[in-house]
Amino acid sequence: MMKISYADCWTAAGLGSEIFMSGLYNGKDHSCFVEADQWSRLVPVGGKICQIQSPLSTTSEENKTKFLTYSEMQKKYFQILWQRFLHHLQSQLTKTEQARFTSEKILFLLASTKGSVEDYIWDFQADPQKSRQAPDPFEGLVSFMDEQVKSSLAEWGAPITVDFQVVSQACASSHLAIEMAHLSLHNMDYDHAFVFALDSLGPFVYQGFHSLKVLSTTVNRPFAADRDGLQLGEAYTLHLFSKKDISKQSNSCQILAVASETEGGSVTRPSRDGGSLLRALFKVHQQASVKPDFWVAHGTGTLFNDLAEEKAIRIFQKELNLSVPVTGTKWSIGHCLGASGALDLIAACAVLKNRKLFSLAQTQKLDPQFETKFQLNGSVNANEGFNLQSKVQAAMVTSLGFGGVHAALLVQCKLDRVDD
Amino acid sequence: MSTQSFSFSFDPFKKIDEPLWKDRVDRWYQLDETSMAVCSALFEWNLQQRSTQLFDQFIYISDFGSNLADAEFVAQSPSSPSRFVYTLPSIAPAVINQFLAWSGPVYCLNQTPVSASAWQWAENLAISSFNKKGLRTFILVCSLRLNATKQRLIKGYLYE
Repeated sequence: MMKISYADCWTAAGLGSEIFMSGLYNGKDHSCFVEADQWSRLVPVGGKICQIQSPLSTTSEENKTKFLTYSEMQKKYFQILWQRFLHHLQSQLTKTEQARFTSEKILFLLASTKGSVEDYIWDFQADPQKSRQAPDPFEGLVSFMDEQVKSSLAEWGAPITVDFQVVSQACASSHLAIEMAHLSLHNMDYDHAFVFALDSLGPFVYQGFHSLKVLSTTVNRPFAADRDGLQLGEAYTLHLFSKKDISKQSNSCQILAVASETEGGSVTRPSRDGGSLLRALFKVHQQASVKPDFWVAHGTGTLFNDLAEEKAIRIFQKELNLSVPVTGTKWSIGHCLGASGALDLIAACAVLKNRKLFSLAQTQKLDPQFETKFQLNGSVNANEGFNLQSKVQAAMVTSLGFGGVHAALLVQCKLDRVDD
Repeated sequence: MSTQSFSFSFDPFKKIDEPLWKDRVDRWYQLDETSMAVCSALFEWNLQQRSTQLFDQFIYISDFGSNLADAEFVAQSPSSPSRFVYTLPSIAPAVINQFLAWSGPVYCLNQTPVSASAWQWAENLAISSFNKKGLRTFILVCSLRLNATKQRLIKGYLYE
């Protein structure tokens, strides 16, 4: 078990968790057509993406003087989220508590699939072998984070120990970073673990998913009978996990359990029976036998991912005699790759605190193969799975990644009081 | 607890013929350089002959992300989906899963000068997992950089 002491995000909806949740509750799709002229490499236009609305996102040669590179942009976004965190913590902690925090042992995990690879990878089209000398895609950002974190915390007046690790584990990167945070707090001597999860959209990522033919040409409809693929999104999230909650906030959330599993099947497709996700779910249940009250699924909207995920959810719920509503976020905010699991955790915590579930707003007709109870459009306030009188509720959040890395986590929120 | 260590070096510019382990991995001929190398390393270490659940968790440490596979992807026109699937540092471990018919938790760390403690974190987890739960850990360290003799090096450590 570990406490969630802080959470924040920046998505295509805007800066902060509130605006992200507002889009989910109001059924807002934040996607827009790819603006290929912003990217130096022309990409096949046709799909939609959920990109953070900022003049920062480009590597276009002619605009390099006006715009930032991906690496610079990621540093800027990190700096903004980090400053918001410092401001928040300063408002919550006394000077003595700040000094105590910085004297404890801190792990900082960067979770990302591609880092700032877009900045340089196109330079090696003529000779891929030269890429052996290319920079590490995470090095610039992690060096910057190291400097920012240590210098700002040092101002709080105590010696600090912050270790940095980079987790790159496809679209399950957030979940794996959270699992590694959990292992580090329980098995090693860390007191706190930050997880900064990010992925930026650029021509490399777009072209890659386009080549796989998994991008939706219409709108993203997870678990729908007529689903036609995913839409890409970009996001930056920052979480602080602690052995002891330092946030002093009401209605605090905690990770009860987190587990991952792999399968040696196809590199891109999960096995049709969702086998490794199911094993991860049962491992979570072994760690904490609390039953979830609702579910935030990975729900990419691709044919095979949704098929495997629904099967694992169905079997798990049946085994535990559960029938709780399942929802997802990607129809609104896109598939934010390495950051998607961290965003889904933010959404799950908001639902646990608000006692109001968001729906899969763009999914009109479920795939007839599916038996799981999905939260569809028009049933936003139904919340059949919720016992509104209960102070303690929990959510399951699942994640699937390329290479058959699948993971699940169980998060619980204890309300100080129940209004209804 | 005991520790076994393994080492494998290879010339990445040498053409690879049909490997003896070809039946263990689907479409082995599509593998990228790193995935091909890790399979060759495991085969040389003869790990495939041992129990399929030789270890309980697997930690993969690499440097320079998937730069080489990324560059190969952008060099192709039209873009090939069979190349794109290797453009993640976590794909080589997925190929290892197939090679060993192994499943379980895999943790992929990227080693940079700042996160140079990836190895230390991995070893700490291996030791604490064994001491607390009796879990066996396999750590694979794979570098893209060439050494003085233009070879790439792969190292393996089994904690059991």
